[in-house]
Amino acid sequence: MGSTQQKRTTARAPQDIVGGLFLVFVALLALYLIRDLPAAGRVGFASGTAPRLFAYGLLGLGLVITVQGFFKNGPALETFPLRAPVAILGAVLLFGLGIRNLGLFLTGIPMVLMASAAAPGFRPLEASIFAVAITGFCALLFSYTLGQPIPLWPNF
Amino acid sequence: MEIFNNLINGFAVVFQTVPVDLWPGAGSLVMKMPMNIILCLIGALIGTLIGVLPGIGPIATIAMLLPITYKLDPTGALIMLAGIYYGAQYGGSTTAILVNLPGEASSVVTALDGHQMAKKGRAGAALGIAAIGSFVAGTFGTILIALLAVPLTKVAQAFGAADYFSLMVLGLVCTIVLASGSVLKAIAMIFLGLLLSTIGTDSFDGMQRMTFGYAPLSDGLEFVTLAMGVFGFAEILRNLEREESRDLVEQKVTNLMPTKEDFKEAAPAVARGTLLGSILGILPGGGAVLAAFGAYALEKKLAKNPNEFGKGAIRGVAGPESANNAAAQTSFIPLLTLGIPPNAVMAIMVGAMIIKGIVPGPQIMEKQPDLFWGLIASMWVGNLMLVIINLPLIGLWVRLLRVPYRMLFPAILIFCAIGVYSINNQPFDVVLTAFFGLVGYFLLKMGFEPAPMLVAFVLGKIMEEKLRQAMLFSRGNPWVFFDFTKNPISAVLMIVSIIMLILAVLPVLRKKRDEVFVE
Repeated sequence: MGSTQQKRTTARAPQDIVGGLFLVFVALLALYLIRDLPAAGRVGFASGTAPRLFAYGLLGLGLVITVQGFFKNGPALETFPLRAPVAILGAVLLFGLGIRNLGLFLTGIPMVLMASAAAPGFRPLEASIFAVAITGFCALLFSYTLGQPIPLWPNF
Repeated sequence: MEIFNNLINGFAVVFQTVPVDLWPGAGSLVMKMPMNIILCLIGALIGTLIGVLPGIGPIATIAMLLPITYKLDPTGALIMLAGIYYGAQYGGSTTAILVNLPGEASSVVTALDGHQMAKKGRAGAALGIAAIGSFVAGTFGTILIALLAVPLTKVAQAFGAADYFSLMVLGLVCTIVLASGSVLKAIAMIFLGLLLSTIGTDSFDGMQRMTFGYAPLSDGLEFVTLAMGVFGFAEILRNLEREESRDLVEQKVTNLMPTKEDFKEAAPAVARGTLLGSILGILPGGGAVLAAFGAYALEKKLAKNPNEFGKGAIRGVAGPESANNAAAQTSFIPLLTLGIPPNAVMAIMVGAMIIKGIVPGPQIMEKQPDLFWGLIASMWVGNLMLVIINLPLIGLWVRLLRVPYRMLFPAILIFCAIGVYSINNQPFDVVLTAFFGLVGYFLLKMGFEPAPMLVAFVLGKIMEEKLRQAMLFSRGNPWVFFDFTKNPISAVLMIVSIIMLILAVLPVLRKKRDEVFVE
């Protein structure tokens, strides 16, 4: 623990406060997005009823969790390392954005390379060989064997 | 005996042979092959593999393998996917015992005593009793499914819209009660899942809801993107944070047969674990993980000298390992009979069924008896194959454990990405998965457990539909769910839900529940 047991701040359970506020944000966003949908129909429910019900529920729960975070003790915030999320999610984004136009080879290989960089001991040569091998294997399995319509090569 | 006929029919489906074109195009290499049994074996083996490997669970694997099942007929596809789930229960114990690292979340407690046994040179007995216990439990679970299927389906067919809605409410309440950690957070996750399920075109009046006017969203969120993001990618990120130490027991595993004393000691634990696991598997929010934890706590409580636990007590291996496999089987009961997935793995099975054009629910047994009984029979055959082939393959599994995680996770990632893309050939789905990966990682960091969200998301669409139907029938009267004269089933279910929810928040019971997870 060490550094987490510092001076008593007003925020006793920072995880709950941040998490609760996030839920409040999601609920408010949802309420904003459905502002034009009818909240109630002639008989019972309309298209806007259920989403509003769920969003208000989430809003209330988010608020309670946030407020509770000021009074009940809880774990401190963990550090947010940047390297792994950026590498992993960036790699997936790269795949999503490139697959249709660049094809599996031109997106898969850099994707695996980029993802490999997420782990602490990154070895460029090993990762490169592995990236080529696993992408080739995927092309063989999904495209040739299973006949999935995955573009392999760039189409311009 | 209707059940026997049904089961015989099921076994016939499992063993049936179909002509397979071994060389597509050539046309001459057509052979009759028992495809279903082959798929069952493949599923069980893949399940064992991912069970052995830490850092990848059944949810991500089933999602990853969905594109592989596109070419298969629905029965074969589901047989294979089911095999992954119970296969993982067998594989998880191998890693737990030999490496002191749970290969699967449901084997966390197996490591406590299993690895101590291995250190004392009794790895063989630990592995043996884990496999035997799993098989006994799997057999019992399969019989239970067969017995309960017909009556439960009949009950479900009598359900009206209000009853269905109330049943799902009860299911979600169970999920809350059984989730680890804060009750409030679990309820919040359920509301988040329900809210996410309303994204897309409204099925009643065609209105666009929360789609940002973006066309790919008008069909709603693809379930796999949520599951893969929250469970697959967020898990990888979580694993990368932890320093991994693999404490491999490098001994030749010789005598796999437990001794007579071992059996005497373990047999009651197997029986108790099987029973407890079967019950927890059926309950929504239960499943293999909770079953294993519960069984360990139970064994420790019943032991004459609990001090032995953690030092290599065979009962600490036999109980949880039986329980997790029993739960893996029985969690199919609510899915197949009521159409309600009790946990996140079953939720992704719903996703797989829908892709195959099957609507989960009581109508499956009538409309697709081959699929229904074939799947059940395949589970027992799969369990039998696992107990026979698994033990000789332990050497291979141990060698696979030497594949470092730094190579494993990029491979998982590209498989996942291709899998998600292939569902609709929609790049947007891949982007969405990355987004949910970020959200899931954030939620985990803030101490929220994402499993209830996933179950709520799957139930959300049906719940809203039933809710609106019921409200329409009652002309907008919300008390229809509590109306004992018109909807007695619904009223009972609702009252049970409310009582359970109140009990869950009471401090006395909360303490008891948390104790189980602390172990």
